[in-house]
Amino acid sequence: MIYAVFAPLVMTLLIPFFNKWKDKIHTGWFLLPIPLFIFLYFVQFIGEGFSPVAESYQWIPSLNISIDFYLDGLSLLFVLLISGIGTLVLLYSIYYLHKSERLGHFYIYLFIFMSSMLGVVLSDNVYVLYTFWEFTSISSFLLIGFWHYRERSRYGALKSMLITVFGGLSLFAGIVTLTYITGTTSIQEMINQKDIIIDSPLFPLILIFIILGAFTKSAQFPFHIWLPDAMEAPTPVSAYLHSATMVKAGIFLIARFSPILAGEPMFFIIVSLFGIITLCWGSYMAVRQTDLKGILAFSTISQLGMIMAMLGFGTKAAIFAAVFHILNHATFKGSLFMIAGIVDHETGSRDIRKLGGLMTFMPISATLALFGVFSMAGFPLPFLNGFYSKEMFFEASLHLDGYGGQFIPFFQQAIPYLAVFGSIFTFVYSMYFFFGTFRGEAKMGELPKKPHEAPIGMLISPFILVLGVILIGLFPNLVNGTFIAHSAEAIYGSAVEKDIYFWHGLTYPPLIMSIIVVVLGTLLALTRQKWAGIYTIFPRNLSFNEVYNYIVDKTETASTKITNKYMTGSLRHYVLYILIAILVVSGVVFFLTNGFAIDTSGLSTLKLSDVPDILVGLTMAIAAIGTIFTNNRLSAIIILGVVGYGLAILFVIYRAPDLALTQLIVETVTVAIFLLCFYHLPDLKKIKEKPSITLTNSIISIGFGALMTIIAISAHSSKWFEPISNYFLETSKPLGGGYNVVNVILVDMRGLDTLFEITVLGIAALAIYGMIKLRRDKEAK
Amino acid sequence: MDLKTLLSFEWGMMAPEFTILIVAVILSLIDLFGKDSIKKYIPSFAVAGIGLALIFLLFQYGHEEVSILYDTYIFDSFAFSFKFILLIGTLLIFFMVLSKQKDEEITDRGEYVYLLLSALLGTMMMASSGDLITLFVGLELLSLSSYIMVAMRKRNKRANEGAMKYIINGGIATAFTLFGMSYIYGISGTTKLVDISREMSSALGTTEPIATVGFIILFVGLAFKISSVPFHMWTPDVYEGAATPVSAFLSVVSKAAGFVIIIRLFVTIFNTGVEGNETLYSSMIGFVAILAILSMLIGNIIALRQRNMKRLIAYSSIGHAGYILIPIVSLSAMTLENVWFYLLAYSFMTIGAFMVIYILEQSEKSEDISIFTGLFQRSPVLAISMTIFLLSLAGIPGTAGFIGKFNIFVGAISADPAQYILVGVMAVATVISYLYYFNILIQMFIRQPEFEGRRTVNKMQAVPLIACITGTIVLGIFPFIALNFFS
Repeated sequence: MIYAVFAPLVMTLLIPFFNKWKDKIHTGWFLLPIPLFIFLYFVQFIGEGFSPVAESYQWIPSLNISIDFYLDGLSLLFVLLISGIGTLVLLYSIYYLHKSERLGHFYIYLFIFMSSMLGVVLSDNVYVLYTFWEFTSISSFLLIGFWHYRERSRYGALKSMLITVFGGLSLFAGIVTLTYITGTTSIQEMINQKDIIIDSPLFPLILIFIILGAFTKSAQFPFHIWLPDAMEAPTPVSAYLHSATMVKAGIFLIARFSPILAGEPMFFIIVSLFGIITLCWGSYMAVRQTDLKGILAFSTISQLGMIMAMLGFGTKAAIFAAVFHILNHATFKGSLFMIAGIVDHETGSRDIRKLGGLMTFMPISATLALFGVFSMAGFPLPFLNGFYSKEMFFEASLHLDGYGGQFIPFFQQAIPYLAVFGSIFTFVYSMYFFFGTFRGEAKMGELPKKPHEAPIGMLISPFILVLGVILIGLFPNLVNGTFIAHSAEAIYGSAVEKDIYFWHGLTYPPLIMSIIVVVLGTLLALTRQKWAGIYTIFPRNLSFNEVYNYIVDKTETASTKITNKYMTGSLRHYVLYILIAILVVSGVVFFLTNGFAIDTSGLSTLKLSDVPDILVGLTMAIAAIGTIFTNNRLSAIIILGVVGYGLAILFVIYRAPDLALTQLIVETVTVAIFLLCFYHLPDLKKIKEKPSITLTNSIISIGFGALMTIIAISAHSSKWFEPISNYFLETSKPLGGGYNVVNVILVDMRGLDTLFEITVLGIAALAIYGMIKLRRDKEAK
Repeated sequence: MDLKTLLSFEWGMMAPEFTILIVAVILSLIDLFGKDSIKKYIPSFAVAGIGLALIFLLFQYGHEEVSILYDTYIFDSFAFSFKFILLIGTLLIFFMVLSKQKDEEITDRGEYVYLLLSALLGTMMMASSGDLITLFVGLELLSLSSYIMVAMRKRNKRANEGAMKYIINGGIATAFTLFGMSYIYGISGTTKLVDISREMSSALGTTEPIATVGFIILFVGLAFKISSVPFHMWTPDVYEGAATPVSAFLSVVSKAAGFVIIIRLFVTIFNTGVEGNETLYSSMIGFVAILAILSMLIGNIIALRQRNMKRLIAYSSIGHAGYILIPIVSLSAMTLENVWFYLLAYSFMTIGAFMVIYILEQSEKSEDISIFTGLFQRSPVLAISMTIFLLSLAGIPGTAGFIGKFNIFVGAISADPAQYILVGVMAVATVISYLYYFNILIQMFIRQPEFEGRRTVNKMQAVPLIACITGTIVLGIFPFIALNFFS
């Protein structure tokens, strides 16, 4: 299995080589066998006696992550879809994409996607699943942006990437929590530990995380907005990723985790409610589209909603119908996308307002579309597979016996009506799609190209899909026991068996519902012109695109605002923020820990003889404050010098003449150097600040000064050790033989340090001498 | 101390440091007295020196703990593994330096090289020091070398502005650091980390407000090196002004050293306590958590609107600093491993991204984001490399960045108490970061090029690129290689 998963990925390495011959042979031909072989490989597994297969490879043993593949009915369904539709899409793309396009890139992206998607559906390990999951998003991003010169594709690509990767992150959070609770990374193991998960207080969180992941990927309301914009991708991509496979990854995820999550009230309510809303909203929105692919995009959204809703119902019949519909949807929607691509390719337009009457020009395409459209609409005919699953959907919506009803009776009552409501619009847009394009008057003048039938190669793929539609419609039990039943079993947890009939009798309620849909749908479709106004009015301001744009815009403006306000580039502000940070944090901490307790017992009391000290101290304080108010650099530095000299005087008073001397020299030198430097600087500009800013600045600086003072005093109050000075006072005479303690320390006790310090200074002096000499030599030259 | 004790120390353990020191000295001498024909090879000598130091270091793998000069220099597994990152990071940066044959703006290439080496020496000393004094000396060696390196582009206005801001901010930060250290020294009476830790484990560490003040001020001072809130404002200005390899050095090696010192100090000093007593560290966890949250949000939100690529990476690096603070908040047995792994992954992806920017800024003479427009058509190699680095920075699976984030994520959730708020903020910040990382992808893949002509990558430029890509992907797919190496 691992070969099947990684074969496309390995193939991407060879694509550049194939691409060299692309002038002679289209690159696609070389690649066609790959998905075909994968398909054939997995087809072998189909059979009545199918049982799950598991494979395991070591990956990150320390984190208990290994590449586990697990092929059960559900995976098998998806694997076949991915490889089967993949083959057809590849074949189709050979005719769709001209050799002059960047084929190499296209196929590389496509194959990365194929590998990742196969990985998603086959992984049993949640982290491996997540890895592949994100890669599907990235390859989808690249494919949407394939036509890089289009403005819209840029927007669409970023949008789809942001929304799906956001969902991916949410899924990631979900699986991390799951692993945390269960201690395993295997999904099958998790299913075995279902009770532990459900009883956990984190369960609602897990549920929401996983559902978010699924909803974003499967374009469920309100995250559906990325899908219509993803239609900028080339049509084969839309047919493949954005209708048949990638968007179903969310469905797959919900199905995969159904054995754990289903049966919970919250799961039922969220999934079926949003599923139904998506169904209705998607089909309603599809009616107002004018772009063929736009119609199909919203139609896909609505169909995905329907499948999601069925998974939400969680009953045996509903799950069976969901699986059946996944298969059916892939066949008819795939063929319709391809037809839309053909129309675009042969007429040069996808705008349904310009199209019409193409039946005469493109009879084969039109016939194929006819089957696809009526299957999509769920028209009650025995050779349309869409009808079967739709009818099962109606049936399931009617039989939620006591299951959903316990929670919200009203909701349960409403579901069948909503289902019919959504289906009516499905019928309307299906008819609109077909009759708008192929019937009516031909408007040749408005088309860029003269329409004609597509080359036979392009028609093969939709033909095969339509054949699938009819075959499944005629012999539904062909796929039932071998295939769908196994898949449904994997979701439901126990065997699901059901026979599929076309005819259940005239009073069979789902049939009546279908007939209502057809009748009302036909009426609405015929009178579509009259309703056109309503379609354009209703969701104008309600569009979730607005919300997305709003969020993105707001984030960016917020960023701009913060940048302008906060990252001014001004050093003063930088320092300000740091001071505020320290002030606030230390202030709060000091307050909380009661650090303001100041102990005065160690301090001496004021005496008359202290007057000189106090006077000097006051002078220093006044000088320091004075510095702030001078607006001349030179005077400021001189006034600041007063502080230094004051300190020297204090040293003198406390009988430390050598310290006083040092202080005097240092102070003099610094002031002199400052004076020399400042002399060359321009005058200080007087900046007029707003009073409010000045006030804040003063508060911060005063606050910080106060804090530092308090810290200093408080530090003085908490002495944990004997002062070190006592030791030196006692030992300076006996050890060093001198009474001047400072001198003894410098030349004796710390003699080696002093020596090194002198050495360092000497080296520095030498370096300065060297630099001056170099300069002189240069000038001399 | 007599000669005998001096010689009895296991000096061999300092072989990596001595190698760097000797190479730096020799290179400075060559630069002073050597002929121009030899001077050309100065960067290559430096690479050889770092390679040699790396080999010495690898020989020490699994060596028992050693302490030299009464615990001022210690060798333990922590020092070993972080020195590994420092050396690898600097090696990659030297490859970056080598890739540019002629530099019009920095004529003194010799100085550039041995300043880088002395900065590296500083960081290595920080990783191995067991004493506040050696720690501080290492820190200052790093800082002083960095100040000059930022200012190397003499004629560039932005470089001058950046250097000025860097030195002033750095000076303030150093002042705070020293102030904090002095308080810690004051209440514990020793500069030796083991002894301080012993003192702190008594009632002193938990009841004394001065200890708390020391903690806060020291942390704020050290936040400068890791460019986290509140000392992050210098980052964009300096990264923008400095030559790109220097920016890469500051954002990778210097930041890693900052984390080394923070872990060394805070985890050893403040996180020891008597049984049942809450340690000072655990009571201050909220403070660190707030810094982490602010860093993640501020860094990522402001990065959104940056057009200058180096500023953008600078803001994103503030965000990453926030991520790396998370395991430090949620202290557990996994903390060291998670920080280490993230830093290693971060080195590869950030240096890689800087390398791509470096190549493009040389060919387009611009640092604007528009240098990436249509890059995929102009140079698929560069575009794909950048994609890998960006995906890794964004934390997409399959890359080293993902595993790093994943470890942090799991570490924070399984910590006691679980740090849900931090994890939530990290998720939000990650989503925001998608916006600007993916925007660069858009520029590269889905936009018409604004610059003409194809861009090729020459051999010298390919070396660091290949190294970084290999690192990013191998660590992403087989992280256990690195994780086994660590443990």
